[in-house]
Amino acid sequence: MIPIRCFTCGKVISEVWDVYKERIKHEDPRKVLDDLGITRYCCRRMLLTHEELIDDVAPYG
Amino acid sequence: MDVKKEYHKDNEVRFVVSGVKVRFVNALRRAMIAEVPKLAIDEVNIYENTSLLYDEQLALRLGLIPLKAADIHEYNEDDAISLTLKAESPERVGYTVVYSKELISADPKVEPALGNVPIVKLVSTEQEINGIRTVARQRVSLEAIARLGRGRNHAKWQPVTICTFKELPDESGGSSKQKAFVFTVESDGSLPVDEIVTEAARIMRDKFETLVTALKTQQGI
Repeated sequence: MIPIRCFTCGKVISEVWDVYKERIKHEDPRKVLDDLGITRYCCRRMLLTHEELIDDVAPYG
Repeated sequence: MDVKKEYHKDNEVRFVVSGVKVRFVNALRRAMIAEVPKLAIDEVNIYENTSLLYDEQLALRLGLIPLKAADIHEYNEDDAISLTLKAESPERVGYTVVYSKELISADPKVEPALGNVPIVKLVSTEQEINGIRTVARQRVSLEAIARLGRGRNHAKWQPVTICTFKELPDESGGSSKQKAFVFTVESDGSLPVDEIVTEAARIMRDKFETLVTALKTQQGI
């Protein structure tokens, strides 16, 4: 699960995750982040470096 | 003291304050971060949680969701606003994501400021017991209690994300040394930015007024 807020500044970044995830399939992440209003590098790394692991863990739950 | 607004977007404001000392602007900044009250989920009663997240993780995620109130002044520290959440994974194998908009508030004036914050993912998996195939569903049922708080107690009660100022280089050519500061304030969505700034200023004024009256009564000036 994507963290609700940016660890550093506290901006709510999880809200754009679904859109971001879909759009990066055929768009440049830089452009997508700019479009979504994620301007600071602290917030950008939250989305850029996030790996959705919950589905891998699910079978062991 | 001179104030000039540079721009004002939805959740962000930038203004220039000049003719004041650093200590004054810094006091204002700290008041915005730590003293301006807002609502946030503080307590969670979990009735059922068979999701992949632990109760604690779920409660932390709920606490970080910004809550918006029609008028924040209507609430005080003792108020408790109940928000309920009930969700279940689909009947067939698959998943559903529970979003913040699914929180049902008991107070119609209070609601999550952002509706699309994913809280938890509920997965339905197929199980086989004694040759009979069933679908195991995950459920979440809880009551969250929102309270009024301040940033000095927990970051979830901090109404601002970015709240900074920097000194502008002296434009007047050095003869009259008047300092100017550019303030950048960004709200997390729970309160309008302009309200955060004015409320912080009001809190500072109230504190000084208390100080003045206390000194007057004690020394009989």
